[in-house]
Amino acid sequence: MLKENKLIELCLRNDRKSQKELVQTYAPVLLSVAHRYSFAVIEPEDILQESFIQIFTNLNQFDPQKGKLFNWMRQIVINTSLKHFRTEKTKLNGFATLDELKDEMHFAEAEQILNFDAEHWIQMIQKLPYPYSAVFNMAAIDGFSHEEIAGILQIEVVTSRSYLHRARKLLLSMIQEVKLIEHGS
Amino acid sequence: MEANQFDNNAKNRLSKHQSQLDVDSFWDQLEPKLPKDKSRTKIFILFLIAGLLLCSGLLGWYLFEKNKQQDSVVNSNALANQVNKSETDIKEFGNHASNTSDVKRDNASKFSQVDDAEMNENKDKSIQQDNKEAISKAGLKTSVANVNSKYTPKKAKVDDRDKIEKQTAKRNDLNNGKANESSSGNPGNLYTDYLTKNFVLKNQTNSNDKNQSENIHESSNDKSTSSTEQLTQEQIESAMAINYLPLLSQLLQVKNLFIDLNFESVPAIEKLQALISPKKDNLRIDLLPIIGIGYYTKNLNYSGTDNLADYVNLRKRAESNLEEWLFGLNVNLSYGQFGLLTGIEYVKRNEKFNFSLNKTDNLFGTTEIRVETNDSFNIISGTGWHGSTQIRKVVHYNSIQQWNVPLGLNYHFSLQGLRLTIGAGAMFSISNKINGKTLDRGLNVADWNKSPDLSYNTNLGVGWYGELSCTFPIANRIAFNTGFRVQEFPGNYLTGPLELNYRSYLLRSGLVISLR
Repeated sequence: MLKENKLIELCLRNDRKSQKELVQTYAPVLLSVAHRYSFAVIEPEDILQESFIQIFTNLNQFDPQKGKLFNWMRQIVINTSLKHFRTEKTKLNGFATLDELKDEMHFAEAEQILNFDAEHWIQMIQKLPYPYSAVFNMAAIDGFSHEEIAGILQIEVVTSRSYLHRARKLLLSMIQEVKLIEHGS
Repeated sequence: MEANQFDNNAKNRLSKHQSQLDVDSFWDQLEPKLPKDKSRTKIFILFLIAGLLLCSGLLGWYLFEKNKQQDSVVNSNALANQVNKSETDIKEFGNHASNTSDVKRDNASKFSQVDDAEMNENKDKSIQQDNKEAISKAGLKTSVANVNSKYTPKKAKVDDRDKIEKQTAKRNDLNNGKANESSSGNPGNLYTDYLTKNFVLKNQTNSNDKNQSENIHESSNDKSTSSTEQLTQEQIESAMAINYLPLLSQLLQVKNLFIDLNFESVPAIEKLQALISPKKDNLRIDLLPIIGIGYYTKNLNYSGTDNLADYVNLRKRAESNLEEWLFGLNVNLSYGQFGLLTGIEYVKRNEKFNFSLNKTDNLFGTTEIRVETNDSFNIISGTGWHGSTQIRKVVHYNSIQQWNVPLGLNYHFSLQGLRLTIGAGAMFSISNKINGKTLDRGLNVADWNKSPDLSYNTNLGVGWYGELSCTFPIANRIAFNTGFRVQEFPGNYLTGPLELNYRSYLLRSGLVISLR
């Protein structure tokens, strides 16, 4: 913690060496976040770069008493991603619509997801239509409450819950497709 | 599997996941877009404001002192004239008090024979004629007294009759050979002296009675005569200027001052000017053409562990720091013992890197560089040179060229007869350029600024300097100045992965040409 505070202090003084150290420490994990929240219209690296500019510009607003530095930076990456989505008005990327989903999904059929690595997860999440991917990322992975999600995405809390539920079903359907492909092959 | 387990599974996989990223290339793209150092900008602005305020203050002070000096000269002249008038009034009053009764008694009969018109006519004529003759023949004292006599009677009409009465009486006395008696009884009585002397001079001109005039002159105005002989042209001119100021003294109406009229007014002015002139001399503007030579210490670091780290270690062992040159033209604006120095300076720093290079092929990572002490070497020229299988001995000469603007304060003091100056301040970088060749991450020879590994900052921001110098006067307005200076730009010279900066130690000499 002391090292991190010292690093923040040096970064606030625009010490390039410290800023680079901060980038080296957090860029890979933040890039993973950017991958999850990115859409077809923008590259995750671009989101990450823009996020770091925001991070270094607004680092003086970070309060260690309110939370961890990583969570604060992750929030900036998420906000940057969502901002781009709103700007670009990304369309559903040709994936399954809600009407095509079956209401009854059996999670037991998805035991094999335990074998999925992070890259597979990211690929599947990226294929989710917005805002399902956003809700799933925030609620299931990043630990946001539905109230927080509703505030960020400017939707109702009930809607957020619904989106999460449907995101899960979509992911399961994708897993089933993978399973079918594997069995077929 | 329930929903929570599904989410946890995803969370466990993704929350700590790190994507593959070339951090160095990402940083190279990010770094130019990051906000620039605001603190340096703030420091620069602060120094700029401080410098401008200082310059404005000095300029304001200079203008104030200039006006004050002019006012002081005028006031001193007016004061001197007023004092003269007061003195004349006082003396005249005393003379009048002591002599009036006698003069009246002695000349009662003669005075009664002269009507007022005749007395006024005589007075005017005598004064006008006396003014000319007094200045041309009798000297400055007579002239000043003459002027005083012109204006003093106007102050109190009551005295006019007494003066004319006294003048007539003295003329009669003089004609009767009583000049010595009338004058010697009141030594220093200017009005009486004036009348007597001028009358004598007139008589001298008219009658050519040298004996009489000399006797009278010596007896009545010895001090004046001797002083007049010692007058310089400058004093005469100064005193002549006083002649035109009695009107001011009339307006001021100062009565209780007393200064001996015998040219005390001129030294008084000089004293006032002497009081003013040191302040005026405190403001100095000096031009300082300088040249310096010295050496420097170099700080070259790299935090990574790849080829560049080996290159840095090797370079530290193999590099020869040559010399550093300094040329500049500075201006020092000083008041008293403190000064503000600024100007423009050019710094050139030379260094040599001697090594051997062995490349078995032209592929990345196969280059080997070695340092050898062999005196023979080949100098590589050209960009992107690729060696062959043989070992090549290489010398890289690099030169760092900078244009800087110093802005600092200095303090002058004397120590055992030496005039010393100690100064410190900021050094603002105008430009920075590195010439020569170096090696990139792949250990390929390349020019500076041709790749991200070799790029440098063209502006080093704000640095600092400190110096101690000694000045030896060699001419009226020229002095020789020599001293020792330390200066540094703490910021990184390079924009790539390497960290580089220098600290210079210079022997600086030059001239101090005083413009004021």
